[in-house]
Amino acid sequence: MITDEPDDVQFGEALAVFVADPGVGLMLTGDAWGCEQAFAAVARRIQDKWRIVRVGPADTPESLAAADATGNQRLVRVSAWGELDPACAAILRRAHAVVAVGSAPPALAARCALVVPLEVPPRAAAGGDVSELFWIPDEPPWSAADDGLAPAEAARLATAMAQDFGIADHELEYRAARAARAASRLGLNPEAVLARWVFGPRGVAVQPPSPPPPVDRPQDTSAETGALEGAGDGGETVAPPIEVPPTERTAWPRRRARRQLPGRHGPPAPDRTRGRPGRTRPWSRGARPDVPATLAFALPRMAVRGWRPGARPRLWPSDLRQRERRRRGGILQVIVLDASGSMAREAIRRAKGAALATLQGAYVDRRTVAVVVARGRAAYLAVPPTRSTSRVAASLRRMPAGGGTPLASAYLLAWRLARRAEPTAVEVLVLTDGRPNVPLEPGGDPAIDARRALGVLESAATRVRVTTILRGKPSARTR
Amino acid sequence: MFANTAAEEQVAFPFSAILGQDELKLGLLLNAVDPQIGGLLALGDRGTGKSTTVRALGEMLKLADIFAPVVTLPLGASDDRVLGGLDLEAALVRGEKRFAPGLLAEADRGFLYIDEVNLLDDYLVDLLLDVAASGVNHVERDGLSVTHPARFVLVGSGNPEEGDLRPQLEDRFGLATWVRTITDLETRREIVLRRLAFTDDPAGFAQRFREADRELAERVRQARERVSAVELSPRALDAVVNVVVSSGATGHRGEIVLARAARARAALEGRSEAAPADVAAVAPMALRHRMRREPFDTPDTVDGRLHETLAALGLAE
Repeated sequence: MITDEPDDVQFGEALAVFVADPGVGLMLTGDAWGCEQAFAAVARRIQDKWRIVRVGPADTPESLAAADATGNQRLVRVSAWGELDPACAAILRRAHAVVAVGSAPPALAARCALVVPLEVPPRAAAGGDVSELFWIPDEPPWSAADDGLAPAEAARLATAMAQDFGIADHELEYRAARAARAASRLGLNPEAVLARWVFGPRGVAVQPPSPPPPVDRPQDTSAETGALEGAGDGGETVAPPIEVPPTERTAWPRRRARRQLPGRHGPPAPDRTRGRPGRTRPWSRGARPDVPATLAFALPRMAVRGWRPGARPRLWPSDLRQRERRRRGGILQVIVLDASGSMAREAIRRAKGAALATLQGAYVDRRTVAVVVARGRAAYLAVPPTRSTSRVAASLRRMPAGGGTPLASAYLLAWRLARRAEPTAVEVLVLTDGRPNVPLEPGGDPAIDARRALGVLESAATRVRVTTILRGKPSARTR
Repeated sequence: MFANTAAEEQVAFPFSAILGQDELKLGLLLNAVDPQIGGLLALGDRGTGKSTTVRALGEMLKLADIFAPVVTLPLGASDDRVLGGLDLEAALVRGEKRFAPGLLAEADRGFLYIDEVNLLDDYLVDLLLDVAASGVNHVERDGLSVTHPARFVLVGSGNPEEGDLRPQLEDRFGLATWVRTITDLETRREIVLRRLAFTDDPAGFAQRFREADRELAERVRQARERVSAVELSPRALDAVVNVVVSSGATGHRGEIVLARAARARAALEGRSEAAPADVAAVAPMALRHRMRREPFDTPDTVDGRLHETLAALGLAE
């Protein structure tokens, strides 16, 4: 009903369902410019009734409370590219309407039932008229009395289709049922809407689109070309003369954008203005005083100085207090442990000792730890990334030894883990006797494979420390 | 069952209308009968009704005039909001040194619910552990020295995928349950249907389940009066000790919690003596977070070992 051209991308259908019932939730993925256009189209339609609260990586639970993000008629727009504070994501599950732009944090994925992958069609990229792409039917062709799909029918449809798509998620099924009812009120086929916009995109897990390859050309800050960097997948497209609002430049490669955000990596660190509030302490120059804490601290002292209630409070510099704030941290410590047969009994004991010592430090820094074990024919992930150091320690203690030394495979596995994290926040410790004997492919050279794989690993980590465990004293060299 | 919407904030989803999640509901009821059990930890999938069930409990208990407020501790709450502090307005305007009670005072004799307990700041967790252990909140700050009772049942929920819970905190919870997404299609359909009905007409929906809630609340009220008189039969006591010893649960808290929970279950079912069956029914909740964990354990393997232990003792259902 939006447009008859079968090849065209009918975003409007999903957007119309969302506008009809924002509680359904919406996830806009794909091209950043398209996301902005789609969001603008939705916002225009609902701004009379809903206030838009923009939430991003800098937000904290307090800032969400201050913005009343979960209040009545608040529409939360999350554009975090997966970088939202988990505590914020948890709070936002209670929001009345959520639109996730880019991708949704896992905690919110089910909360955003409609998934609209926005590919900018060639026509738009070539400068054609795109307004109809994001056109949402104006007058909903239903009356208040027309309820559309009965609740029982919507519930049946939502759960049955979830089952068909291999999904079991009460929250998503509930949102899908609401989407089905909204769709039927709009005169759309509920089943088709759910298949296309809710369950279809999730049949394969909803993944954020892979970022465009980092192009090493000078960053042009003019809005026009800036917004098109994400759009130019086709390669040979001509820069079209489209008016683009100067919005956030979410089309930048993910790594580059993330590196510009302070406080997204490292152990929990004190921060002057951001992060979770902690204890209060005497004010030091340059910090922001905490007003309630300062007043509470100063009151008994002001009374001694002759201040009377109702009068204007008079503070001395020594009365000032500030609140400690700690920002979220997140160094990933990968431990690659060679537990092959070539490691002598004593050597493996020493390697485990070194690993446990690293673990101690990881606990102090609240790092995330993962353990990769090189043993047998291929390396395996003994402990997936966790903050539970006790779990890692127990696993290390019980680690059996024996078999070949697939070092190359271990490095590649560590690289796969490292790649998922911030490149400036991954540290790898390799504990090995340095005698790889299992190649990546049959017939390969184990030593050459290991060297190459190490190079790959180093490209994705801050630091790779290879500690060679010998029968004598262990020697360490840092790469 | 899920996150709130506008209407739900005014009317709570009725406790009796929550489908499935029997262990979660039983764990909460046992704590309502005997707060000394020491709280409940509910970990598991998102969107399985953890928060809804806890909130529903408070409303349900009100129907039998049981004073047990359910207070939610928001993530990111400051220490003076949690512990209480100087009432600044009174101090500045009227010169009165007054204590403004915090969430712990509000939760006294009730439930303190922490959603996403695994994401809570470490220093707040330490504060809570101190108070939960002593039942008394002692505030020394801002020139105040205040002590007030804070006996609350700590109820925590969270999704372990988002962060681990510190072992010290885990052990502090009397009972633990794993909440999973229900896979039965018919139940799922009914869950969605009830949720839709609730969103459309919260008050009418709550009314439908009012009577069931009231009956349940009445049972809890009677059980609360009776529970201290319920005896643990000698066979049940043997069962408690045997289960704890052969499951290899660490610490002695397991035995005490198990005995109390078994007694509370008997009281809830109107009996005056707890039987081995009561012990078997609550053993998984009382012990699963105290089992020694192997390196690659999952919740299922831990539960599996616990059930084997129960079966070996002839206690399996």
